[in-house]
Amino acid sequence: MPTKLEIKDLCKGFTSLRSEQSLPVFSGLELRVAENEFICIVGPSGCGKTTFLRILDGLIPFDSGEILLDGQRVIKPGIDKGFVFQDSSLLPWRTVVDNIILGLELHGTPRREARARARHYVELVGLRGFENHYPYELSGGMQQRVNLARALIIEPQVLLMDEPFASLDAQTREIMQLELLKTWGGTRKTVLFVTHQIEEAVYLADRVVVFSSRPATIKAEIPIELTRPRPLAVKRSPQFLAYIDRIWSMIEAEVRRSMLEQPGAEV
Amino acid sequence: MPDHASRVPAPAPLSLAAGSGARSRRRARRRPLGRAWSEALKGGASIAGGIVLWQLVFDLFIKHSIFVASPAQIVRAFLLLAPSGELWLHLRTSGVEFLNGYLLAVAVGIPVGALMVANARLNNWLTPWIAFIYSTPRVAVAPLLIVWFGIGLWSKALIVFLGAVFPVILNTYTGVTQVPLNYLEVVRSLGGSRPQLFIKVLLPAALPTIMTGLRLAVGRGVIGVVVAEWYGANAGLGYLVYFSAQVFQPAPIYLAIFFLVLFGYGAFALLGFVQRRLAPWHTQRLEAS
Ligand SMILES: Nc1ncnc2c1ncn2[C@@H]1O[C@H](COP(=O)(O)OP(=O)(O)O)[C@@H](O)[C@H]1O
Ligand SMILES: [Mg+2]
Repeated sequence: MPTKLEIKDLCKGFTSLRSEQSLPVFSGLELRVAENEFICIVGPSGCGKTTFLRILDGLIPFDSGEILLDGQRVIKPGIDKGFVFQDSSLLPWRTVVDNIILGLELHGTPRREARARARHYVELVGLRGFENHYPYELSGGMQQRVNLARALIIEPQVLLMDEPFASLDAQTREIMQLELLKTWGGTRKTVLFVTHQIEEAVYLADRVVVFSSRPATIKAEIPIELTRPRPLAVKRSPQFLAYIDRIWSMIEAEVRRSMLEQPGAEV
Repeated sequence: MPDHASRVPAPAPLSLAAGSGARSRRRARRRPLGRAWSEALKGGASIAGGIVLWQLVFDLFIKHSIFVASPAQIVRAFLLLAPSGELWLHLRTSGVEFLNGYLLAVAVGIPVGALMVANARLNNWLTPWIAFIYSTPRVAVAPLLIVWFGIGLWSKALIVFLGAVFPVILNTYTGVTQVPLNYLEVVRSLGGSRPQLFIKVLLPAALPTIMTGLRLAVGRGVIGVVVAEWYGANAGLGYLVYFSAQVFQPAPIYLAIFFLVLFGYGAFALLGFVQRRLAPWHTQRLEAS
């Protein structure tokens, strides 16, 4: 598999207002993502997962290192990367379909053409009949599907997903995981999916990347050799549970470490 | 308060099943309309009762006054002023003054408020001026403005403008600064430009707050018209008030007040309607939750 995305020696710090010195989030992070690979990133809360995706998207700058997408440097946000945000980031004054076509609209696609193209994605995420609803008329799961469709319609090279299902209830979450894999099976994008649920990571990923606590380095990369398509029942297989145990023990150590270092920090 | 509990609407059925959204929305809209009618009827009856009482008190106790007019006298003043076209002249004069000043305030206030968010230096530079001019009583500077700009339309429009522009600026500013950052991030992530951030996110998100500013500006603009015409005019509702007071004729004053209230209330209600139309998500989100 050719390399799609390459992160070399990434360093990034945030300057805290109080100490006026830069506290590192990443110091020398390296990651290579193959074409069409589904990567899940897990790690303790506050280790820099969101920051990592935001840097990859070009939303925030980094201090040093290199990020190459198809061999090209990533400098700014654009439709070559699709971002699915953690909390509902739908624009409340736009209907479902108008939220989905936002990216096309920003790049000058005529509205009619954009709406025609949206039909396919509305279908893909199972929202037919809801095109003209406003976000407040949708359940949380439906809103996240709109978020997904909005990122897919621009046909990005990479899909960056930041805990997209974190706020959903358990059942909806499982259905969304299943549907995400189905959608991904059809479009075969390179995906970086951040989650704090190990079970979700193992179910979705080709490879699970475990971040250490801040400053984050890659603590482990675990290829998941479960066959696809994966029915939800796979979550009860011994092989699946063995992956969970393995990754959980790694994270547990990290979480304990970060708790000791920052007393009172949420986990 | 009569039977307050029965006016609280029953909770709307919450359903997200396909197709039912539109139906329940329509139903939710129809019901308050019936309630609005019956409330308008009650309100109308209450006002009619008040007018009758007013006339009775006047006929029984006051009979004759240079300070108070009875409803019948006001109607008589109307019948006197309307056919000659004089009333229309006052209405039109004040209306044109108001509209010019108000529209100018909107045209200036929204861009200024928005630019103050976009440009920190402009903000720092303008804020003291805004605080300063806003705190200056218009009643005090109106005579100066009339001396400077003459007794024609533009001195009046300017006084209206000075009253109306600040609610527009401040509400636009507040509305734009309160836009959730993640909306901006979405557009940025999709490669949107800075002007697009403004047009596609900041303005629509701030629209309900801006509309509130436009509504608040109506009242201040109406006051501006009246004050401006007191200091020098030869037509207009404010002039009618001033002139009638000079000649101890209370009835036309009441007539002018009536039309000022009618106009202010009408514009306020109209903008409220436009606000609900332009930002249905805003009111309906509140209803749904
Ligand atoms: N804009 C910012 N300024 C300063 N510190 C930040 C900023 N954004 C995130 N951080 C800090 O960087 C660390 C990583 O944050 P984040 O990427 O959101 O973590 P995660 O998504 O893994 O929970 C946290 O300690 C957080 O406090
Ligand atoms: Mg996060």
